[in-house]
Amino acid sequence: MGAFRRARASLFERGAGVLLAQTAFVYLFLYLPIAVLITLSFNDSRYAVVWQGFTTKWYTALLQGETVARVDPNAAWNALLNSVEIAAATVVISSVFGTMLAFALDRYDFPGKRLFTGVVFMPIIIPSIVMGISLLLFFNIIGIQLGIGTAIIGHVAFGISFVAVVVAARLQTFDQTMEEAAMDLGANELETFRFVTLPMIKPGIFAGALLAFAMSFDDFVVTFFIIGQENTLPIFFFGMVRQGISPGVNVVAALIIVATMALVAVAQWFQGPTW
Amino acid sequence: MGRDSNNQASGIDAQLVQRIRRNQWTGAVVNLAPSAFWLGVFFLAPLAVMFFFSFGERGAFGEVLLATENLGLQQYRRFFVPEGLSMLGAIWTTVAWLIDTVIPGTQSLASTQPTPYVRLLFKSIGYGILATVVSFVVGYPMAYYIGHIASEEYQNLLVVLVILPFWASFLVRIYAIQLLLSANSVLMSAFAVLPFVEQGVTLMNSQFAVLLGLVYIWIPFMILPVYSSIEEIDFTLQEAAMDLGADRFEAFYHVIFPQSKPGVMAGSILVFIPSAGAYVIPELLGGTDSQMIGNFIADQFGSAGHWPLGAAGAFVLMGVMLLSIAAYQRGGGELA
Repeated sequence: MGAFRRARASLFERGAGVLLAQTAFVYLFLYLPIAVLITLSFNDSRYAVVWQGFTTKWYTALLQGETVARVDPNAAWNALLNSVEIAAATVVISSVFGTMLAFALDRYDFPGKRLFTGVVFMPIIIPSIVMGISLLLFFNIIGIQLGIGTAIIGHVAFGISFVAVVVAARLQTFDQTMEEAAMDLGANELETFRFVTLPMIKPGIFAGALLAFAMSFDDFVVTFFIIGQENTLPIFFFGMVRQGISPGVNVVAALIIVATMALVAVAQWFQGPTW
Repeated sequence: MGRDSNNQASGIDAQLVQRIRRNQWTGAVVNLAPSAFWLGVFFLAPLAVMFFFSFGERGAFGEVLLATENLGLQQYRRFFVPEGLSMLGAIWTTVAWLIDTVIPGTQSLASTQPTPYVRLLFKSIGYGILATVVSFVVGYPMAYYIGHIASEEYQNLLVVLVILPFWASFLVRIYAIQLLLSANSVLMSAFAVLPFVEQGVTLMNSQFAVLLGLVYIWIPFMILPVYSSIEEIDFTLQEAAMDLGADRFEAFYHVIFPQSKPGVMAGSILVFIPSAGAYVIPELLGGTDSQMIGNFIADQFGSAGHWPLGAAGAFVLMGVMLLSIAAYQRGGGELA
């Protein structure tokens, strides 16, 4: 028993080294697949997984609008534009509504508040597949034509929740005496909001908007069921991946991941770690 | 309209505006209305429609019958109760089958198998639990390192490195896993050096691939909450414990770990829920033996064409999620 205790304790003495190795391993686990993906996009081989030498020919071909292994760059471009359009509309609507919702939840008590708060959390936690299919059934029943519009409606339904949760967290640390001071000095509600409250909670709204944008831009499952014949980037990409690994898919994948990670890194740089 | 009456009207308007503004409910109603409308119409109403469908019946041509005489619990029965068994029989069969599956070496207690849907449900829950346990075992030490041992100046960078993949495209990262696991990839060629691994073998379309994908995608959700609770711990308590005679392990186990428990619980629920309800990961990485309840639901609304059964499956899955959240809250966890 004593020997076991000593062994256990000595493992914990040397803990820092073990933990460092473990941490390095997890970072490797997180980034190795991405590194391999980016490397293989420069691979000079039709069978995209075995390394045959460096080339940029897939990039040049795609950028010139040629189809590489069934990947049509024009279709990808259209899908990207749709994704951006949907995500932009989603961010605008859900940032406004979500912030208002966060205020209501933070400032007011009303009957059924606990239940309502639960409902606000639900779009974040229920499986996307359930949300997507239920929206599909709903749009079918009331007879709305599926398309970009219905995709935006669906995305706002979960975007509001993400924004509200993030902004509400910021509001909890908010010093309300500042608002009272502004009102005492003669500002009305809107002026107080515009010149006192908004500047103070801006980082929260920004973080919420960023999250809503990412969730909308990256969403596959909900969109897949409610967008009808249109494409978004994830849906286009899913279709490509279903047909198998190919140099064209590698290039599109590498471009997507580099672009999104760069954007997020910049946002995190300005914002501090945000999640 | 004359100027006077206009003034008078605006005077009354102003009074009205004043009264509305002073009313305690105005702010709440104005701020709540848009979101309440949106969530009510485009979230709750669709769920209600789906719930209604789950009581329906499938017609001969795959259409959904929702007339009064068709409504009932038949889809839930089909989901849970094997043909020819009573309710009690179904419960016993399921429990016996679970014991048989989970505990190795037990003699087959169950005389019949539960329905394929029940087996699929528990398989999905099993995937969720496994993904959670693996994420915890792998993620906790790392969160501990970032939160306590790493020097302050690198802490933010290390955290951002955990967050980055989570913001980057989900599908692209699944595809990256595919690249690693498919035959003749870098990783698989490296494994082929080992004596018992054959050249050209693949790990794709397997249960292992699905589990790896789940952990790869959701592990940041374990690391981040654990990190933020470890970061807040006062580590002088550890020294105090050791001064009082605890060794390092005891100090960790009795003093530090309990304080990081809120993070562990939040991380567990954040990993378990999306893992058990996964659809895309088994679709892209799994084979026929590694499909989950999410794929079953999608199939019922797609190729299998049995909407009421699919709707019932969706609400069973939602029930599992609600139960796990209830367990989480009972254990003292808070949402957000």
